[in-house]
Amino acid sequence: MLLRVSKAMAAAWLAACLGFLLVGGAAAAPAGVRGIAVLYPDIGEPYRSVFTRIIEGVEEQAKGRVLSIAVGAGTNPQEVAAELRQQDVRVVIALGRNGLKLAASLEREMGIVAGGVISVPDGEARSNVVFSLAPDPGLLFSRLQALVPATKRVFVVYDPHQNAWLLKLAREAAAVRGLELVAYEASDLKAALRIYQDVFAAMDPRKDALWLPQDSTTVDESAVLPLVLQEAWSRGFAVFSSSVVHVRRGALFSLYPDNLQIGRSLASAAQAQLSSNGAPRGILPLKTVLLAVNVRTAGHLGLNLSGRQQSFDMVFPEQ
Amino acid sequence: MNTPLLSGFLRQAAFKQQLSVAVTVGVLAFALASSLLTSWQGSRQIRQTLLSQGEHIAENLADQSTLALLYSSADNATGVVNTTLSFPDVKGVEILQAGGQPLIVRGDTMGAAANAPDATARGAYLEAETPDSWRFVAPVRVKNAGDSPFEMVPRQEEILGYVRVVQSKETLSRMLAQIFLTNIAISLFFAALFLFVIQWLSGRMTKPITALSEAMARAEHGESGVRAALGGPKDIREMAQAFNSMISALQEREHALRESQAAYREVVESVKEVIFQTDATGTWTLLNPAWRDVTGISVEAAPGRPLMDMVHPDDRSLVGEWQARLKRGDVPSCRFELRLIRGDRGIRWLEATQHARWDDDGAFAGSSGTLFDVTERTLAAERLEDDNAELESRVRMRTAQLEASNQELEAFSYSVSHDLRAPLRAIDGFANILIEDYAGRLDEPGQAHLQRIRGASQRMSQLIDDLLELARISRAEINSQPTDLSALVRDIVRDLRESEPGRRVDVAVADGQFAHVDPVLIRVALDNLLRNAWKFTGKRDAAHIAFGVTPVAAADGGSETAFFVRDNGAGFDMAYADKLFKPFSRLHPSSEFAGTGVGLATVQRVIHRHGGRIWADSGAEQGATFYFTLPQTRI
Repeated sequence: MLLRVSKAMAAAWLAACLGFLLVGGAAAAPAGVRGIAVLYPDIGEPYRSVFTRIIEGVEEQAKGRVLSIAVGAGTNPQEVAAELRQQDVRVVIALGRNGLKLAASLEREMGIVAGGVISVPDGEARSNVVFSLAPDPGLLFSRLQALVPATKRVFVVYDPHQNAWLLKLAREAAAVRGLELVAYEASDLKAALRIYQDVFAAMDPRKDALWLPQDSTTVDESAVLPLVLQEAWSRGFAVFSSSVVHVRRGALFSLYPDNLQIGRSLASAAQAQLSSNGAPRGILPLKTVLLAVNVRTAGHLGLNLSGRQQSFDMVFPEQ
Repeated sequence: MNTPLLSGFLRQAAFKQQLSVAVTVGVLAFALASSLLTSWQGSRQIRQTLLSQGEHIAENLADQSTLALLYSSADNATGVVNTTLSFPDVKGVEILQAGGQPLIVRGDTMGAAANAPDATARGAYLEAETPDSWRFVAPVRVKNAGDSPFEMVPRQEEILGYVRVVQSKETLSRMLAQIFLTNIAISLFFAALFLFVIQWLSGRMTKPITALSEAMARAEHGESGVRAALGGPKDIREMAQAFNSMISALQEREHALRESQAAYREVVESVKEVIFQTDATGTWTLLNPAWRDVTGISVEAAPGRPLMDMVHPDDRSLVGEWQARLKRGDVPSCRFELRLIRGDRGIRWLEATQHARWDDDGAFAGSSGTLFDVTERTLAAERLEDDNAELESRVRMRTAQLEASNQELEAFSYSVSHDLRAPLRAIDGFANILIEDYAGRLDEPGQAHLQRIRGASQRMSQLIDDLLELARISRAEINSQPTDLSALVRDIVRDLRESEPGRRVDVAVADGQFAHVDPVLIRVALDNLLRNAWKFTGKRDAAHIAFGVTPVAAADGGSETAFFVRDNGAGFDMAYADKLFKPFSRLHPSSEFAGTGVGLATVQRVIHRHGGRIWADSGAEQGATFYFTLPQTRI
């Protein structure tokens, strides 16, 4: 226990040092790339490394250090705004919830490219471009069809407040790929559980699969996930998820973000805004993804993955 | 603490008993205190453990009640409720929905329905406690992975309901009792063991002390030759050694004291003097056997009788006065004579030597001393006194006869001398007439014979003068007065120089020499001495005469000042010194030095009449020194 704490503390200390370097370095010499800054949450692991990787992608794409500002609970928005003005920043790459909230308080002239979030309220999506961490349903369905070719119908239970935009894309993608998407809305956990009971009753394991989106209401990890995984194991139907964590616990596969590539995409979008090239608006699903597969679950489902494992970016159970 | 009971115990009890009682009380108190302390400490830990266990059970029940609450189905929680109730001490379980409606109630829940759970609690907590049980409450929430920075809306934990677990304190009470009993049993066991060890050690320690104490008690009761055994710890051994040394020293002292007492008794009983002691009232308290010899009264009969009863009535006032002076401390001791009435009514003269005795407080305690029988001495003294009186009477009578004879003799001598002078003057006168008127008719031998007749008649006349002088001095009355001897000497020397102006004599006279003497007589003495010196230095080219004083040893061993007359003349042979002061004794022929041989006898007579003494020191041809002392010259 003590060792774990020590490791966590060491990681936090390292992260703090990295944050200092990022902030300090950017403030000291944002050489070459002027006009772009990154606002990212001042947060500990495991999230810090995600944002660090994204920022690396931004810098790779921008070909130089950019002004990176960690946003914590004590960060003063006025000071950040003054710093941005002083550095002549015109486009901000806002990462995570804290980054986006701070960016929303900036002047309207400031261009914002959002990233590092799963979804945003509709208003913000319309005024800015948002690179979501939610994998593109089309990619998910393609992987499903590749891994479980017999799948004809996909069930999903979602909270419309969180994933209405994604379901819209999912319906389109399912239709394109000849899949039937059976989607249920649930605004609380109790309702979701009741729906899941109905779904389980209605599912045909031979041709149906269950999709677990990144939805905090309908995909509760303590109540729903055990129930779903238990049912899937006993009934023998495929469960795929938008979260790589679920794969570790027993879901068949998941697509997860390539953070470095996300950074590059964010930088490209920012550069496009900077150059007034008419960057896109609205929320964009995650296109640059990696694949995680649970081979044990696949084996239980009778899927033959031999010869394809080298194309998986992450395999569970870990070897 | 210092109660009479405790003090009495501490005085009466032996060391071992005191140690045992103290250790027993201390160990029992320690055992009880440590047991209570351990039980109290243990109860705290057990209570914390049981509280933690109860909270853990409640949280576990809450975790596993999620589905039951989500589905509002008691069946989903039957298993976990039964499992929870199977835990020791869990008396009752209750699962409540978020609105407080009970979903499951099992066992004794301590009437919990009346209380609303704390909706803000993050985990299980102790809701209520009775003497018999605890009641824990844990909220049941929808679990999620925690707040994610990737979600714009923070996740809210939804409360699904609550669980209550009632846990009995039976285990706590039982364990407390067990801990206390175990501790007290262990403590008592070790206390008994410790007490046994202390008893053994104290017995081991006190055994030599007890033995030493017993030896001391035997010594106290008068047993002789007691020795303590040398055993036990070092300090006890040293104490026993010290005791043995002390006993040895005491025995030696006792032996010495007995010998001293025996010697003292022997001395006291053997002396002829009465050795006595009286108390402050003058009553006999101690007498030695000599008492019986002196008084005829047995030693045993005298003690208790007043001293004064035996004193002669005429001496009682004297004895009483001395007793009073001793008692007052006027004198430390006294010596007096008294008469004691013997048992046979005879009288003994005793010389009493008495010393006062004082007690430690300085009060008069009586007297001690000796009584020496001086009856014989006193009687002898009385006889001697009678004899002396008779002797003095005889002496006075004989002295009167002698004085009469002397007067007759002096008168005779004077008349003889005076009567002899007339024919001598006739012889000298007629011899002179013959020389002057018949010088032409006498041949030389005839003239020489006439001259020898004149010389003989003149010497005889001188001799008669000297004898008359000696006689006069012998009977002359002495009128002493302060007299300057130095002035007298200078006066005489001046006469001598005038008589022989042609002589060169060095005379040294010490200044300021005075004496309380008859100036006429002392002048006669000094004149004779200086004239002798003048005469016997007549053959010296450098004659020296000195008058002075010198310290000399007195006849009584002291020191006194002697006058002297010293010359460097012919001196005399000390072998004849005893003849120097005899009349008509001459150490030199008259042909060599003229003289009658009466001068020094006269000098001696003068000095003796003043109470002084005279002597001479000389050697042939080494000069002579005449010393004389006078009473006034004593230092």
